[in-house]
This record gives sequence, C-alpha cells and structure tokens, in this order.
Amino acid sequence: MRHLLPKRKSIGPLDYIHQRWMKLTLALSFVFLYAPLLILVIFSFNDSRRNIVWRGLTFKYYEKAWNNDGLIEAFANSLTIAFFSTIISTILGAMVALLLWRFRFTLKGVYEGSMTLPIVIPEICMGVSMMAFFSRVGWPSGLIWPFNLSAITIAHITFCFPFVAVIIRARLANFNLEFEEAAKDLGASEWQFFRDIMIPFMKPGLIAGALLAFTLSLDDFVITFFTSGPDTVTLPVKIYSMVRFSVTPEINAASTVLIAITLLLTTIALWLQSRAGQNLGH
Amino acid sequence: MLGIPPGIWLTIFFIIPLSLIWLFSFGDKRGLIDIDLTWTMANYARAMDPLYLQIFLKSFWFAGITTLICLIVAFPIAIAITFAPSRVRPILLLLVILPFWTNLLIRTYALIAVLRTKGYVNIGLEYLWDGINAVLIFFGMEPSGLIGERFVPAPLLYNNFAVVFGLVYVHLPFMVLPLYASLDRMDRSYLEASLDLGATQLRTFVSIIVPLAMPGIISGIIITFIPALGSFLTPDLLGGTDSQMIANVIERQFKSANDWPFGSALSFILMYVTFFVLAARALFSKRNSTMESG
Amino acid sequence: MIQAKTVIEIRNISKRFGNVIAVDSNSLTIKEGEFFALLGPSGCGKTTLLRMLAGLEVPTDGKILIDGEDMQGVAPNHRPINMVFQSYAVFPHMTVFDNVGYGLKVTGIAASTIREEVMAALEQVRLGGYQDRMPDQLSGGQKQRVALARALVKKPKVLLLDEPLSALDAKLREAMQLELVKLQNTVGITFIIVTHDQDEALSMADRIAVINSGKIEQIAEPRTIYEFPANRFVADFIGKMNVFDAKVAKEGDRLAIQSSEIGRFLVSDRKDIEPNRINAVAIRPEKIRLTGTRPDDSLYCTEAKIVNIAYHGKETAIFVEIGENTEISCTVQNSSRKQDMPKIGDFRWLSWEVDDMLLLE
Repeated sequence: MRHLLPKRKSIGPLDYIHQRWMKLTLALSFVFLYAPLLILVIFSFNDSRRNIVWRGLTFKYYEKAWNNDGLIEAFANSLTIAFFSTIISTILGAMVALLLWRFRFTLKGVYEGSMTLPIVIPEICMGVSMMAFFSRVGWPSGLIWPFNLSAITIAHITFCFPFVAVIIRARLANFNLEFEEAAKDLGASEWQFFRDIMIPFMKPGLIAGALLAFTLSLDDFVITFFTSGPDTVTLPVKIYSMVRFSVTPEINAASTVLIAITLLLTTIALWLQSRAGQNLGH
Repeated sequence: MLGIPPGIWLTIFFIIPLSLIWLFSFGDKRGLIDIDLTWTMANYARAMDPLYLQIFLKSFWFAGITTLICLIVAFPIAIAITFAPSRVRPILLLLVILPFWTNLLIRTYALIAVLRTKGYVNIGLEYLWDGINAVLIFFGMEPSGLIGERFVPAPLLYNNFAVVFGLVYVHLPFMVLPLYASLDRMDRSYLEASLDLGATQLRTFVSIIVPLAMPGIISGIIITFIPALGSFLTPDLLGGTDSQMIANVIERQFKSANDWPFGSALSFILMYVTFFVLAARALFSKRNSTMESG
Repeated sequence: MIQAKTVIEIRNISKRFGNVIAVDSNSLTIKEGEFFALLGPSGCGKTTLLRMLAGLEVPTDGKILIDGEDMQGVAPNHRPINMVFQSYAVFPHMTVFDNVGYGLKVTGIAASTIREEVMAALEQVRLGGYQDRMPDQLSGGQKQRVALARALVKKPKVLLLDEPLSALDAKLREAMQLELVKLQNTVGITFIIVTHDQDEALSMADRIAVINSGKIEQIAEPRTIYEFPANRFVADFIGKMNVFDAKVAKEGDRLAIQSSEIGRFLVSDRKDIEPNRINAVAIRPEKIRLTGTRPDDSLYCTEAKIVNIAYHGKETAIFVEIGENTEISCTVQNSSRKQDMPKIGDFRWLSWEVDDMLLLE
C-alpha cells in the first residue's frame, strides 16, 4: 500500500536551500546579478538602435564594432598589454611566491606586507600615483607601437604580480615537503629537483596565475585611465568614452566580446585549479 | 636572489610613485605643472573644507550603506550555498563568482540600460501603470486622482540611489565569499545541537551562526567597505552632480582641475583611512585569536 | 650463525634543534641483511635518527659510517641509502613507471636499462602491469608499493622506512607486515624501519632499538625486549605490565623480594642484576593464572577478588584486587567455549612462576 501514501518531500532542519523563502532569495539575488548583464548581451543582437524593444536578431552591431577602427585598435592594445603583463607578472609572482614559501629572512614581514600593498590600496590612488610618476620621470611618450604601451603595461604588471604571487603561494602551500626529500634521496640534484618536481607541481598555479593576470589586465579601467594617452587607448577606456557619449548597441557588442573572453579565461582557470586540487597526491 | 627582481620592480614602480604623490601632497602648485615642495599643510587643511568634508562623509555613507545592504543580502545567499547539496554547491558558488570576474565598467554600463528613464525598470513600471489605468477605466473610475494623469518615469539614474544600487551590485560577491568561507568551516553539529536543545531556527541564527561566522562577517565588511569607499567608476557613471565620491574629486584634481598637490593630499587621506580600517581589523583578529587560545 | 658484516655504524650521534635535544648521543651498529626497527613513542627522536642516516638532517655531533665510510658532508643524493617516506611522496604528476624510474634517470642511466630495472622492481612489489597508472588512480597500499619499488630499484645498501604502515588500515597493515619481511628476505638488503607500533616492530624486526626522549633504552631481539626489558620504560612501553615497588636483597643463592603490595618471596639469582639498584618488580598479565584451587608452593600465590572484567574476544582482561587496593590485571585466553568465567566479586587464587617476574631498575 506504500504507493498510496502521499508523496511528501520532507525538509531536514539544515536543508535551508529547500525552504521556499530561501529559494526565493537566491533566485532574486541571481536575477539581480545576472539580469543586467543578460539584457546587455541579448540587446547586442537586437535589430534596433534604441536599445529597448526586441526587433529581431542581427549581427550588424558586431560588424559595426569590427569596422570601428578606434575600437579595434583599442582591443589590439588591450591584448598586447595583457600579453606582456601576463608574462612578466607571472615570472615576478612566481619568484615572490617561491621566496616567501621557501625561505626565512630578516624583514620577511616587511617584504610580504609591501607585496600585498598593490592589492589593498584603492585603485584610484595607484592610478594617480602612476600618472604622476610617469609624467615626472619624463617617461617617453609617442614611441612606436608597441613601446608606446609601456607605461600602461608597467602599471598593469605592478598590480597583477602580487595577485599571481598569492595564487602560486596557495598552490605551494599544498606541496608535500617529502617530495623534495624523496627526489634528493633518489639522487636528484637541486636543479633536477626544481625541473622535474617543482615546476610541474607549480604548473597549475602558474597557469591559473597567468590567466588571472591576463583577465585583470584586460579588465582594468581605473589605473589604465590615468596612464593612457590619446594614442594609447585600451578597450575599457574606449568603451568608457563611448558610454559617456551615448548608449548604443555597438557598445553592447564590444562589451559582450570582452565578457566572453573573460568568462572563457576564468572558466579555464577555475577548472585547472579544481583539477589541480584533486590530484595533490598525498 | 629570488626576491630581488620583484623587490626592485615594486620599489621603482610602486613605492616611488606613491612617495612622489606623498611629497606632492605637501607641495604648492606653481603654474601649470610646477610643484614646489614647501611642506605646506594647506592641501590637507583644504580637504577639511566643508565642501570636501561633506564629500568624504557622503563617501563613507555610501560605502557604509552599501556594506550593510550587501551583508543583509549576502547572508541568506551564503547560508543557502553552505547547506546546498554538494553537487549544487560549486555551481552556486561559480554563479556568485562569475559577475565578479566580469569587467567593472561593463557591469556598470549594464546598469545604465536598466535604470535610465527609458530603461527596463521604467518600461516595466509604465506597463504596470497602463494596466492599472485600463483596469480603473474599465471599472468606470477616474484614474487621474489615484495614480496620476500620466505615467511619470521613476528617476532611477544619476542620483544617490543609482550610486548605492550600483555599489551593491558590484560588491555583493565580495561579501558572499568570506561569509561562505566562514560558514563552510563551521561544524554543522553546533547548529544541530542548538536545534536539539530546543532553540528555534531564528534563535540558532542569532546565537550560534552569527557569532561563529563573525570572522567572516568582519572580513566581508572590510573587503566590501574598502573598495566601495574608493569607488570611482560607479559614482562617475551612475551618479548625479551631488553624488560624487572622494575618488571623483581626486580624479578631477589630476585631470581637469590640474591641482596635483590637493589631489595627492586627498589620495593619501583615502589611503590612511584604508590602512586604519585594515589595522583595526588586524588588531581585532589578533585579540580574537588570543582569546581563543587563552 | 655466521657473523654478518656491519653495514651501519653510528657513533655517539646527537641532534639538537635549538634547545631541544632530539637525539642524545646514541651509538648503534646494524648488520648487513638485518631487519632493524627503531621503536618509540612519537616525538622520541626515532624519525630524526632515520633522517640523519638518509642525510636529510645533519647531526649536531657524532659520526655515521656506512660500509665503513664516513657520511659526514655526503648529501642525500650521494648516499647508498634510500628511503620510503611516511606519506610515500609518490610524485603526483608522474606515472608509476616514471616514479620508479626517476632515481635511475637522474643519475643518467640508459633508458633501456631503466625500463628493465623498473619492470623487475614492479614485479617484485607485485605491481606488474601498473606502470602506466597515475598515482591518483592507486590505493594507499599500492602507492606504498610504488614507493618501495622506487627505492629498491636504486639497489641501496640500506632501505629506510619511515612509519611505512601507519597510513594503512588495520587489515592491510597486517598483510603488509608479512609482505615486507618476505620482500626483505628476497632482496637481502638491510631494512631500517621507524615505528611507534610495538606489534609491528616485534613481528617484523630481527632486532629492535627502543628509544625514549632521544636516548636508546635497549637494543635487542624482539623476544628479549619483551621478556627481559632492560628498564622500567621498556617494560612499560612494550606490552602491558603490572609493576610493584619492591626492594631486593641477596639471600644465599637466591634473591629475596620485599614488596609492600605483594609481600615477600624468593626468586632465582640473575647474574646481570645488582640487587641494590632494583626498585620494582613486574609481571605481565598473561603470565598470571587464576584458579579455583590453591596451586602448589613453587608458585607465587595469593587470594584475589575479581573487581572488573573486560571481554576482548580472543582473550579476557580480568582485574583483581589483592591486599589493600593493589589492583592487578590478568589476561585469560578464551581457548574454549566451555571455559569457566569468574564474575565480579568472586574470589580466586592468583599465581605465577616467580622466575617470570621482572626485576626493574
């Protein structure tokens, strides 16, 4: 007779997520977080200049954005800056992470503290100090591409590499010190240990750190805003000036491209990290 | 050896620039770009001018109210994620993190489209208004007396509301993550014990969850408050003339007004506030940890 | 028995970490082909001693000779010694094959030789066919075999094992104990194992060094360690023991024992004993008999009241009281279902062979 009993899903006392008000809160929060972005993406395909009512699917704003030389140039600049920032900040970040993980030295606290400064100080302060610095030291402007991007790239590296260091250090914290002893015990030299064990172990952290640096650099507006000049515009700075001017589907298209790139990179980074977390191998 | 290249980099491209504007903040503006280092306090004194003091207060107010709203909204989200089935948890977590990774400028821009006079919220409201209007006319009532002659779009953009809305929108994930982290570490049996001993869910929340999640709550408050206080883009794009924050004033000093010494002084006041908050937190967590071990 | 060659000689070795003395001036020799155990409670310095042998810690004082060669200043990668780590330290990003072959590869051995040796080593630890697996596809026991193969493939003079079985569950641990002994017999390499588990040490080792607070308390064969512990620490640490304060005096060709707890009786003289240094006597629970009738006079014997009974399946621990508040624990083997079981409050005769008693300093 069991099938005659009413089917009632009982809710455990700690199953907060199955309670109705909780579901509602969650749903509303995600609507709040995602609706504006979804609308932005959807209306980049809308066949109407006035971003309000859906008039049918079109790719013409992507085409328009593609044909907008200023936008494409800004995009190329952004990618170039992100590329160089990523390489240098990954190297610097890895050095900091290895140093802080491996060694004890006097003033380690000071060193560690100053490495976290670029993470904690307000972006605006960093932006204006960079602006003041580059103008005061007479940093050459108007150089040939890509050297004209050097000031922005330097600023980006400065705020990226401490983040990279944090990521790689988190990875290193999981390093089983017996791996090193085992390698040495089996006859490996310091260098062989570093090449065969350390670098492969750090690899997920290096990749995740690099992806983070790339995203941070690609996304940055405030600091770039203060270090860019009229001929060194990045995509966010370009979008900013377009937004100030008017709200057009073309901006939606450019924004959608930027969102897509960031999401892709973030997903890869998160995936790598979760995979790395699974085979720590203790 | 390993520490030298990053150390040099940080010194040249971070410490020196910061020191430079620290020096500027004690300087006198002479001409268009000339600054004389006279060790004057005039720039700091000027920051205490009621005009700027009011902007500082407004920034604190915006950041504070943003933090409070984020805390209230984030708590249920964090609880729901913590107690979600392990299969769903990473997905929910990812959903919270993803907007965090989306460009700040784009997120702010997305809000403009939602909030402006002919934005989606107002279109929705107008639709609603039309509906009510039609119903009222259907019942033979005079609508103008009840809901007004014509639909008036709600002023949602370019005001203080828009700035706080935008700040909450941007900073919500900052609050959810530390809350989640501390709730996740919490031993579930504490809650079960509380319920077993006869406490209600609400009582358990107040007496068990909140005190145990306190480190997470404090981290959340701090990592929401600090960036909110220094926000530039949100008030710049969403705010009106009277909703400027410190960062907007600083930007003006460095760009259009070209008064670097004053802008530098403002920057350093903002940084001192930031450090003060961080130091207070460090002190608090130290006291907490000695309390636990003692 | 042929006198085997000494492979490890440790002379007055000490290790200090700051103010803490981890290893306190110990000397020890280990013979070729021996299965040697360093046994002691956690934090006693046994692992530090092992790590000094491997070259992973530098001794503060003293000498280590391997095959007569002084190891001072010899890096771990140049010692004829290999180690199986407590966490196994199987490199997570390498296949089983690459893990086992790593020690050969870094010393520049030809790939074809490596292949042969690795396959043979994997066969030896019964992991044939596993060479292409990744470590996260292996169980704890299999990882341990990889770690073993990886060390054995280097053909070390001595293999060090740091708590090799502590991460395994009880059933697997017992099986691995037997397997390690078998493996050691086949390869003929000296094994030095660090353990805090006395059963492990007693069942596997040829000789055991019992260590306490950095000091070696006794080095002997398992049976000697158990039956003739050198001092109170060893007696207490290995197995269970009933210890009584006592004074001992020579009485003709016998020793007279006087204890406030168990009274006065005589035992045979033992030549390795200085009566005036003895301050306690002891008896193991399983050497005590409980009977309904009074046994003959050659045994130590007294009447006892049963105060507690703990049933353990293969045996039963019975706690009795004699005299005033002297509690003694006895172990009775449950060798038959028909066996008569005393109840709490019953009285029984308690007896033991007087020469089974231990005289402790």
